Amino acid sequence: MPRTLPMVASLALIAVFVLAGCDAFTPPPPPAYTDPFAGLLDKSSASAPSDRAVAVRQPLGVLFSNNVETYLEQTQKLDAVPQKYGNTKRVTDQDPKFVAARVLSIIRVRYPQLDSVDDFNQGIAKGDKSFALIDTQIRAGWFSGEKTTVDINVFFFDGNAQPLSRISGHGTATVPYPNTSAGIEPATDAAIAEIQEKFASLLR
Amino acid sequence: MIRVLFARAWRAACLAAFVCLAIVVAAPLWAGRADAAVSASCKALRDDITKMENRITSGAALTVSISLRALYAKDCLNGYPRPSDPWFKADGTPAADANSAGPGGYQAPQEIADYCRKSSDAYLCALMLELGEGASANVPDIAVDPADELPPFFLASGGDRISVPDECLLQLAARLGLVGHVARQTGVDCSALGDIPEALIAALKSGIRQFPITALTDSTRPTADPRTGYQPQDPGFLEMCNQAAVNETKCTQRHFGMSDIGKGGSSGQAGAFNDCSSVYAGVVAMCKRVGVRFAEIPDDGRAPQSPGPAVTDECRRDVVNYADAAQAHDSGKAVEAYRTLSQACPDLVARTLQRSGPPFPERQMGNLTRGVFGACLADPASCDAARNVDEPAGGGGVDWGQANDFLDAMIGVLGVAQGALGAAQAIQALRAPAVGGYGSNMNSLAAPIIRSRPGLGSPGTAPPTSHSTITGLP
Repeated sequence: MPRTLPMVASLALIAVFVLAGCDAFTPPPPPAYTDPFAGLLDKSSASAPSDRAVAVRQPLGVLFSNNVETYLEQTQKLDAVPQKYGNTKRVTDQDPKFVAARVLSIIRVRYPQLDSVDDFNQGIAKGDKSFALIDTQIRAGWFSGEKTTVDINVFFFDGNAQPLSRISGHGTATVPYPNTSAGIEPATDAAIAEIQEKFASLLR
Repeated sequence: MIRVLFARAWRAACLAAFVCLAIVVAAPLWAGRADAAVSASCKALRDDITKMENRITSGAALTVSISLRALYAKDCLNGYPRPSDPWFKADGTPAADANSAGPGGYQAPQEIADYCRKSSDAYLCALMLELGEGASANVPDIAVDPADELPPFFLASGGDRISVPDECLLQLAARLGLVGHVARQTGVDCSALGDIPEALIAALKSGIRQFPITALTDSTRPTADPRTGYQPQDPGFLEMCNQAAVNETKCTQRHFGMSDIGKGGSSGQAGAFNDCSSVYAGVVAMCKRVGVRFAEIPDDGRAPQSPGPAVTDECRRDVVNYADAAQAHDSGKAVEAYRTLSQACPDLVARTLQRSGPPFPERQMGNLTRGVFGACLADPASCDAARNVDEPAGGGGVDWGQANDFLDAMIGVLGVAQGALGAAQAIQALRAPAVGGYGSNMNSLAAPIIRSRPGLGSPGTAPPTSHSTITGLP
């Protein structure tokens, strides 16, 4: 009896830690992305031709799809667990400013006259000559071995909000062991590299 | 916290612009004697223009500054008679004051009086010249006291500061992307604008782009000042825009409604309404550029096209209320406003419904998107700096929404907030004695305006306590 008591107590203690940890390491449900045109146009994004050459006029109105907001909401949820446990590397990796800076920089370098607008009505009223709709769909892996995917779509429209071209980039990464990072940065870089290559040949 | 501080700073800046506009139109009503060449109201206007420009140094309110500066030059520097101008008898001989001038006496600048003394009717000559009716070649050059002029317009960003002469402000606005191409004026040398470094222009543009982010989120409703009862005490940006739109309409209607005494025109009473309309048009244009949408209110400064029945000011106000509530997604207020509108202004509702809605779905950008992507778009340098991907692992693990952004923003905001607070207090102190019985809200600005003119009484008389009925309008 005196020998079994410490063992039972130890097992109980381990069980408590495991159960407590299970809750903490449960990832939030994956984000539910929608059509990038949702809320902006009464048509599907499938109506935009893929990888078609386009002449962009400035000032260029920049819109962000509702998926961007969805991704940012997801990031806030994803930040909670690694912050709690001090995993700053993961928090840094999924910092949305990285994606924002990368996406906007490749557009700005070509078209410095960018104008952020809420919707097409506002952009047309402000006199924007073309529009770029930025759509990001990021699915971050959580456990080691899972895939992280980054899909970035840039839709170009003329001054009357008619879709002219859809230019997309795709990147993936595998969550390492231990799962200190989702690999969003390398996946984003891969997607951006693909888009940059297309920009070079398609944008005028 | 950041939003609150920005909103406070912005509201104080709005208040400065707001009071400026109040004084512009109220000025002729209470112009009093003063020792300086310009009236006390013109001095107050000059101070308020300066305060506003000191608060918004990015150039976001540049177009409003252009309107106000032009109006100041027209009505305060080149508007006659000025309080310090001497009095003359009907035959053009000097008089000591208004009382000794006698019947037909008038006040005029010495240059005009000298010119008109040779006329057979000196009083009528001075009156016509002061109303701008004389040929420009006949109007004598009148010296302007440098002390009365506005300080040079300036823009500042970081540690850089540039001054720009008034005649080059439109070209500056074009360079900052606030207006389209501006043709070069002959005889005006604005070559110094080309010396402004591109980095400074980029920084100013960044500040201008940031402006709507805070302005459009400020939907503060006016609140009454318990001491004076004046409203609004603290107008938000959207409220200011709505009132500017309503008042622009009123002034435009009154300007073109004076058909019996000249069908519009740019001088005298009609000119005052024209000025009023122009000033508010400038504010409305700024609001539109920021992204504010307006309801069915004529916004082009022209006479309302009215093949149908006339639309009352109350109806227009109801439309604004309805649009305001709809934009704020306040269905309760929107339904209530729509009900009022339907009962009081059925013709307007019918005409409104006949028109098509906006061509595309209306959507507001999400707050997180605006905060992250919008901020990166407005200020890419800060975005890149805050997100340095080369930093060692673990070194950058901060909450992107709280730590770095907060500290970065606070450094800039504290200075603005501190200055704005002082401005708000100064404006508050200025308001009570200045506006008298007319209040300071923008509704009062649309009241009929009486300019001080020869034969219309001494500018030294006490301000009237009720609106003029000279136009027959309420």
